[in-house]
Amino acid sequence: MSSELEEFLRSHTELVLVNLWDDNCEASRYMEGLMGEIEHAKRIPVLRLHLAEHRDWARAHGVYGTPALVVYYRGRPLFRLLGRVTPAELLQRFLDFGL
Amino acid sequence: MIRYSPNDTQQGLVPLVPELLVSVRPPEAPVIEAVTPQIAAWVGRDPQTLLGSSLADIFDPIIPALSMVVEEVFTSGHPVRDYRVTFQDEAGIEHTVRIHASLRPGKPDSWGALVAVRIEELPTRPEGAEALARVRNVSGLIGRSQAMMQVFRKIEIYGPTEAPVVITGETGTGKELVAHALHAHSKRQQYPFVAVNCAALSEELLESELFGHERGAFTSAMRSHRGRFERANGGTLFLDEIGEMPLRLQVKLLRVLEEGVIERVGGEREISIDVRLLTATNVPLEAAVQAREFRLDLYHRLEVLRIHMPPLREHPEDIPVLVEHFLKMLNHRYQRHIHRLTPEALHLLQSYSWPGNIRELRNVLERVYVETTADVIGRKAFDEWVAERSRFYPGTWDLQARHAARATRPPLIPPYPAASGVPRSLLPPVSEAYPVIDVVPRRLDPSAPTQPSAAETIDVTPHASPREVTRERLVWAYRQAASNITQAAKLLGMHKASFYRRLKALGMSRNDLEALATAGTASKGKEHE
Repeated sequence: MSSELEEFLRSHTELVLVNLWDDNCEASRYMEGLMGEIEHAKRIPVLRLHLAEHRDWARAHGVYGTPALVVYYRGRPLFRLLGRVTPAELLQRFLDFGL
Repeated sequence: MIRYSPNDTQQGLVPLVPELLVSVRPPEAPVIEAVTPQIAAWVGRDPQTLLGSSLADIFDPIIPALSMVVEEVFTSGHPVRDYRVTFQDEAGIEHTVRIHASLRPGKPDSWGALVAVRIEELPTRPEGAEALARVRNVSGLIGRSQAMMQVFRKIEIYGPTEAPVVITGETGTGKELVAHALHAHSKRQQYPFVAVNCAALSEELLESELFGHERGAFTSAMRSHRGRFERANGGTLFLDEIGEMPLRLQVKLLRVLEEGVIERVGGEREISIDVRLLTATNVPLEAAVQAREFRLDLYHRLEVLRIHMPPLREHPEDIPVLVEHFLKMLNHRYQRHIHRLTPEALHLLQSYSWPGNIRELRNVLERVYVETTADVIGRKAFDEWVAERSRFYPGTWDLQARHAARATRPPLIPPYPAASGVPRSLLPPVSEAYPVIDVVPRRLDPSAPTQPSAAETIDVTPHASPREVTRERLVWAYRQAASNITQAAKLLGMHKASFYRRLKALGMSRNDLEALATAGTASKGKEHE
């Protein structure tokens, strides 16, 4: 599973947004609305990973908690946002990176 | 030693005394400048002995997220809020904490920065509470099945957004409850929730109801009237059975959605409104669009988010909790104390396919409840109802046989089975791939044959359009449905409002229908024409 995920991130030629979430995490639930809107806009693929199911992969990528957003480009993390973020903050980070 | 000032509380992110203060001076590793005894205890150390130590060296073996958070805050300059982490301390005790961190306010320093970290310990959920939490009640929607959990999750996600939501599902599955739940989870919850059933009103009345009218707009308009859009201003408008909305009104609705203004019937001024629109349908809108009965542009405007309510037969594991809920409700209403159903009675209910879904379950329970005098409702209390259903109703009692039959038969238009009241005009043409849909009465007796005899099979071949339904078929369906209009309409694959409209178009009243059905003037032969 992890290798498939790595392969997908490596082979995808555009940006990919990975969202690590967990049950009983209020901030994850808060972020679900934002994730749903991003998914619906279809500007960037969103991978929503349950932390318990992808714990090893998350640790290998320096993610130990939820919610976490990591933007990948060709398998390489461009930037990471930990904890609860607002749509404006996420947009600002994209702008910071000239995306 | 670091001194803290009230400035540290700027933005409400950093407490007066953070649990952890770290200095970051690249390229050196972040260093602990202050730490509380509680946090030091996680690594089994005295706080004083940690000062000046590398954060990573001390905390990474236990809670590596701290280093990540500090790095994140330092490199991005943005605070981190509500980052939830679970870890085991040195003594093996599990902790779940919520981390907030930000740069310590003040002038940017050439030597680096201070990152203040606040760590909240979250209570661990007791084991019993986990099981209890599995049964959820969201605005009257009850369930513990995966299918319902999915619905609850979507409600929580979609509720706070402003996007329109289409709620699909068979009749009786609780679509209006979902709309209420979405409203309750939205920022508009303090404002009105207004519901309109598009199939229940004629075109003119629906227009007037939705958009309002001015005095003198038509003969009976004695005074001006605020429409439902205006009444829902600031809140949520729920349009039930949107698929039945006439095309002319769909155009007006589209304009409201695009421009946020309405015009009352007979009015000349535009009124700005701010309404979130929720819609529900038990017909597939995609097919309605293909049949040119629903505008494509309106479909795209409405179909931003979708919640599908599963039919009860797809989550029978929820029946016990639903029964418990309805019993409580009935106990309250009738001031009695019937506590439960026997396992046999529950098993009976779980083996039925519930074409009327939860509404049917509630009504059946109420009927049996009223008739029962004991404290517990047993299997025998349902005998009469079972006999009635077995005589004519499309629901079968053997779910396994039903699933097996479905597997060998091509689907209709998933997820809208024929029993849900899909207009026949929306169903695919009758062909060998879609043979006559058999509506088969079954018996509860396990020894009874599972295959129906030819005499038991009722022909409900789809019609091209409700407008083509003949008088004879109306009478036939009315008689088959034991004078129940809703069921008769279902047998013909139309909504009851369409049934009434067709009846009116044929110049018949309900009394005429009753008389014809009783007299049996419509011959059996004509029924199958």
